[in-house]
Parts: sequence; structure tokens; C-alpha cells
Amino acid sequence: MGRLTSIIAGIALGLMAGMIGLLATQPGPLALPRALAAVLTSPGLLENVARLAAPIAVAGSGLALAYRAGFITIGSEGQMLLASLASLYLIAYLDIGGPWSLLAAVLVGAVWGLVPGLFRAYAGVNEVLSSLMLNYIALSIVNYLVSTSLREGAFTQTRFIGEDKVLEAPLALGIALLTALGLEAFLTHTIPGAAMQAYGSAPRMAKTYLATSRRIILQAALASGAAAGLAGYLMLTGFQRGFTAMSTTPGYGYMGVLAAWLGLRSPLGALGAALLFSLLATAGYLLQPQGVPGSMALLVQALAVLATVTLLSRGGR
Amino acid sequence: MEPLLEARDLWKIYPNGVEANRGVNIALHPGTVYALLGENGAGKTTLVKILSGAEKPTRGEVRLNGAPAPATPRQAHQAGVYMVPQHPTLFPNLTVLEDVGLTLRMAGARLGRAGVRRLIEEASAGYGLAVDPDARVEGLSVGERQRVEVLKGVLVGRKVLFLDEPSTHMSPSEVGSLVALARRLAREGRAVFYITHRIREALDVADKILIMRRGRLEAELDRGEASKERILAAMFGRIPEKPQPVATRPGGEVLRAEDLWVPSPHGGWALRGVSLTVRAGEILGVAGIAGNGQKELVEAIIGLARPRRGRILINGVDVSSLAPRARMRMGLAVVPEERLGWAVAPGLSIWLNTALPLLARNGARLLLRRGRAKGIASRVVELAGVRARSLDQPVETLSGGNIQRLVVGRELEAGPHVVVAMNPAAGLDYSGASMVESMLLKAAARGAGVLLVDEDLELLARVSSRIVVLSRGVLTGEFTPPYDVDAIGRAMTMR
Repeated sequence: MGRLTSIIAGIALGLMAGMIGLLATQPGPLALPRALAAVLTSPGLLENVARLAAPIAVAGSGLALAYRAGFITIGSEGQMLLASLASLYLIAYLDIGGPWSLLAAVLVGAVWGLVPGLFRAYAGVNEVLSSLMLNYIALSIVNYLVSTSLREGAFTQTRFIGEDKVLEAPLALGIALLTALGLEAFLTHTIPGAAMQAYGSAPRMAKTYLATSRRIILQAALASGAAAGLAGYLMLTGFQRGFTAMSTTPGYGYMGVLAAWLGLRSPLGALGAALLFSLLATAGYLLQPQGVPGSMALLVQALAVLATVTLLSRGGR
Repeated sequence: MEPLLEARDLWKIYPNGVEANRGVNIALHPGTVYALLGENGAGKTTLVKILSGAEKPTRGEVRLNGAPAPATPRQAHQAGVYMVPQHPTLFPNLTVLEDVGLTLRMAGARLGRAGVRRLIEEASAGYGLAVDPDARVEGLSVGERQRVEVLKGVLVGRKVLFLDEPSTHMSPSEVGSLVALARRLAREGRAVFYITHRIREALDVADKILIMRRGRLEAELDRGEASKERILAAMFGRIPEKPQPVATRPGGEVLRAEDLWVPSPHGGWALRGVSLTVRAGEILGVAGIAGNGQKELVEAIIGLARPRRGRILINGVDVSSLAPRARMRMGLAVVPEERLGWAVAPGLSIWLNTALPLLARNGARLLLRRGRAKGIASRVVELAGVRARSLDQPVETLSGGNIQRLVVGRELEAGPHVVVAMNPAAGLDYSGASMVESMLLKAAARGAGVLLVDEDLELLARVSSRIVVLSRGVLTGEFTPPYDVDAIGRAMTMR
């Protein structure tokens, strides 16, 4: 089965599973296509889709790059959290907005992203495990700050950025598109990018002829972390706007992971997958008042990715 | 007498084009010990995998007792066919009893713990295979694990027992008792198939010695008629009467390795104080049987492994602390042993696989200019005579021979001072192998020093200006043309 066919079949399977799930609910299976159509025809809802898609796409693009290099981090979740908290601090507490808050987010994401890279490069620690743990640590840090130094008023919550600071949807999407294009160009038009791909496919070849493992792993960790940082900024200025104490992480970074895989580890593919996910999630919101659980959209996403990846792996045998 | 296991016209052609088995006919009779000898890459492992049900042949069939042979290892076990692997594959977190019991159960035996324990103890005492059933596998040495594997072979391989290089992890005295065990098992009515590359061991153990070479069974010698000379001749082919070493006069020293000590992943040392020099314009052949430190020597010289002691100089400069790419910038070229995954990256295009290493060597850091890269690649492809439809096709779609032409062409393109090549012609057909050979000779003629680490003695004798022999991590001899293949063979098995 071809790559494109696999994706289309995977997405179709995911949607079908969602509709089968809807059989048990009041609105019935046709509610899903109806909700999707409603989103696609409403400019307000499309803005929502774009705002949601932008951070997922940016995080997913960075992850796609890391995955090409064989660095299977899932740390985008924690990197996004800490990065958006950093932006929030600059915007809402120090009143430093615009490019500086964006830069701070990228920096914090990159630093936090570098940690599992360092663990892998210097101690051989598997990045899947270390980056997952770092997500929990990031969550704890955010919760701690939310209930101490950044606490605002009687509730455990931070200040929220003003309506005027919320990013325009087309701008957010534009940033996501530029990031994906930039990373795509990095992979195909630069020597380090090509070396990363070689390392992902044949580490020994890359180590012998191109660069040391350490260099490639740290580059991949840094790049995916920086992208997740930017994603954190887009999350904050797109819809998050502030934090309350959380029992779990919001999950947009994990959606980035799914987007990277559904997008076949290509930055532009991740952007496409992120748009699809956001479309589904927004349709899911529309269905919630009708008694459809909010997790339905997530179910469709997860199944679509699983089905696509399975079809692709079978094809590769 | 009817053969127990019989194979007719077995062919195995891997997707990368390597023809591992080319029309093998074989018949195993009960009560006989067979020894299979051959160089690395001769197709021994592939043959045994097919015979034991672990792989399917591309063509041909295997029959057990006249019926189609088992198609999976599990079915093979149930039919009394077992292969003792070269490197033990036991479950580390089980006890010996549990691991053996699991294998027995998968082979169809219905036994409780007590039954398994009794079997282990009986076999242990009866065949002199001392194992502690309650020991945890992870606490055992590799030699002890190997003993457990042999025990499993005794219990499961009731009809046909394959032993794949069983002496790899054994001391000489253990090898002696293993040989005795193999002969006893055959006397009891099994067919025992013993794979080795040690000629002495084969002569000791076998009733029949089978010699494989380039995917074919080259010779079948009875115990009485086998001799080291006949075996060597069949293994390595005829050594040409007049070897033709490189005609150019060697120049200055381009590569020097001093007192290299490299630890082995299996414990102990893979290299124990190896020193050698290569001069410009010469090909220094390193002969030896696989697993005697060749890989570690190559890795140390190219910079993938750090020796514990010793240093490496290229053109008189100490490069011991430099990464491989830095050494390549100083004029090192590498033709590794494995093509896919080490020499080239599968999934990437031909042009990337060709140009990227060259650009990295020239110090390109950031931009990858497609036009320039493709220009480099198309020149290499043309000069090396690589048959490719397009430069954009993934490199693994090329045949093994074409990949190797590409790799050798790429490595010689930069005009290296030192070329390190390991088994560069292994698995290639005649034209591919002679192409590689002539490219290496040409490189030496242009003034490069070539270090050729190869298991093919015939090839080494054809092209080398000098040959050194690596055995058990030590250089055990140095030879100059005309080469005395017997003496080299003796040095290869020297302790």
C-alpha cells in the first residue's frame, strides 16, 4: 500500500470508528460528518481550528525532525508548558510582549528539550523514558509556580494575558507554516539535516562518514525543543492565556507527537495532521452539548494514527 | 540408506541481491557427524537456517524423512530438529530449569517441573554437561550458557542436531569434550551437523567434511581422505602460481598503528598490542579467521572505537583522539564490511549517499547544494560503473555489487592517502569482486596506502604487497610474496 493511500485509509478508519462509537449516543453516527461540515463552513470556528492547529503543528514539525534523526522524544508536552509559562511571565507580569516573549519561549523550550538529548548523548539513557519523566517534572514546576510566586488572588491561578494580546488566527497559522517550511528546508537543503536523516536510518553510516552521534542527537533535541517552545508561545497566545493548577498536562504536545507520526515524520505532513486534529477537536466541542463525550475526537485521532502507522509498517515488510 | 534430512537445489537470494546459497544439494544420514567449513559469507549460516526451518529458500526444497521439512523453528523442534545458536539466546531472568522447560514445552513435551528437572539431571549426568537447574541464566558465564544450549540440543534435537560455531565461547578442553559429545550423539543415531571455521576441529569431529564457498558446496570429503591441505584448497580456491603484488614501489609511511589494545564486548581483549604500518603505494593484507579482532582493528583505525592503549597516526599525525570525520579529512577512506547500514544509509537516495560523505569530508558545513551534490554523485556513478536507473532511487534498490561499486568509487573519489577496507568483495559475484579488486589496486598505484582486512586468502594473495595474520587479537606472522598459503593458514590458527 502506498504512503498516501495508507494515510487516507488510516484517517477513514479512524473516522469510521468514531461514527461507530456515535451509534451508542443520542445524535447518532451522522452527527460527526454534520459537525465537521458545520466547522468547515463557519469562519469563526475555522479561526478556532487555526489557533488550535498552530501549536500542534509547530510542535509536530519539530518532532518530525527529531524522529527522522531517530531521536524519539515525547518531551514536547513539558517543553510547551514551561515555554508558555515563560511567555506568560514576560507578557502578563513584566509587560514585555511581542518578539521577546516569543524568544523566551523558544529558549526555554530548547533548554528543556536539550536535557533528554544530553542524557542520551552522554549516558545512553533512552529518550522516550527520560522525556516522559521530564514532562511530569515540568508539570510539577508549573503547578508549584502557579500556587506560589505566580499566584494571583484567592485561587491557584496565574494572571491571564489580555484579549488584546491574543494572536490573530491567520498569523498563528502563518508562523506554523513558516516553521514547517523552514524545517523541511533544513532537512532537505542542509548538510546537518541530511546527516540527521542518515543517522535516523543508519546510525553507523552517519557516525563513520558524517558526524558524531552526540552532535546529531543534541542538534535534534535542541531543534525539537525550540519548536516545542515556539508551540508553547502559540498555545499561550492562541487560547491558553493563563494557567490554573493542573492534575494532568493539557496534552497538545502529545498531539504534536501524533501529528508527527501521522504526517509521516515530515514537518509539512505534521502541519496537515495538526489541521485535521484541530478540525476533529472543534467538531468534538460542537457535539459535546449533544451528549457526545469530549474524548471522541481524541479517540478518532489516536485510531487514525494507529491505523496509518500499522498500514505503513505492513507495507514496509 | 535413506537420508534423514535432504535438500535439493537450494537457492537463497536476499532482497539486496546477495546470493547466499546457489544450488546446494545436501543429504544428512543418521549416525553421522558432518562438519561444515567455509569462510565468512560463504553461505554457511544461511544454509543452516534453511535446513533448520528458520528461513525459507528462494528456490529448492528441504525434506525430512521424505516429507516436506518443518517451516518454522517451533515445528522443527517438534520434529526433533534443533539448532544450537552460535551466541546463546536464553532468557536472562529465568532459571535454567524454567528456560529449558519452556523450550521443551514449545517442542511439544508435556512435563511438569519435576519432569523437566529429571530430564536435565539425567542429560547432565549422562552426557557430562554440568549445569545447575536452579541457577538464574543472567548469573551464568557465556560458556555456561552455551552448555545449557547444548543440553537443550541434546534434549530437543533427537533426530538432527545443528551446532553453529559451538566452540566460539569455549576453552580448548571444553571443545575437546564437545567433540566427543558430538560423536557420541551420532553413534546413538542422530545426524549431527557441526558448523565451524576451525579446520582442526572439523577434522577431529567429522565423519564427513563439507566445504562451502561462495554459496556452493565446493567439496565433500570423507574422514579418511580429508587433510588440511585439501580443505584449504577447497575453502579458498586455488592460489595462483604467480601472485601479482602491486608493482609500484612503496613510499613513505601513511598509516601507523602502535600497540593497540581494544577490549572485547565478550570480555577480555579483542586486540592485544597490535602494531602495523602501511606505506604509500602498497596494499597491506590482514589475513585471519573472522572474530579474531579484525572488526575491532578496523573500528579503532577509523575512529569508531577508542583503544584503551596505543595510538594511531595518519601521515605522521596522531589522530587517536579524533572523530572519524576528522580522520577522513586527513585523507582516510573507509570501505566497511557491511554495505547497507554502514557504508550507505538505506532509505536515502543514491545521490545523497554518494555526495554527503564526500561533502562532509571537504568541510561543507551548512548548505547542501543539490546541483553540485548530484554532479558529484553522477561522476562517481559513472566512473565506478554503477548501474542505476536514476540518482534519485533509494540506494538499497541497487544490487549488492552495484552498492559496493558505488561505495568504493565514492571512497576513492576524494583521492585518499589511506584506504581501510574490510571484506570488500564478500558476497559479490565474479565481476563485482574483480572490479573492487582492480579499484583497490588502482588506488595503491596512485599512491594510497591500502589496509585490506579480508578473510579471503586468495584475494589477499592476489593483491597484497605484504600479508600479516591476525589471530586472537595478536599479529602472528608477516609474509611477503610469493605467498606460502600453508604457512599463512597455520598462522591463522596460531594461539
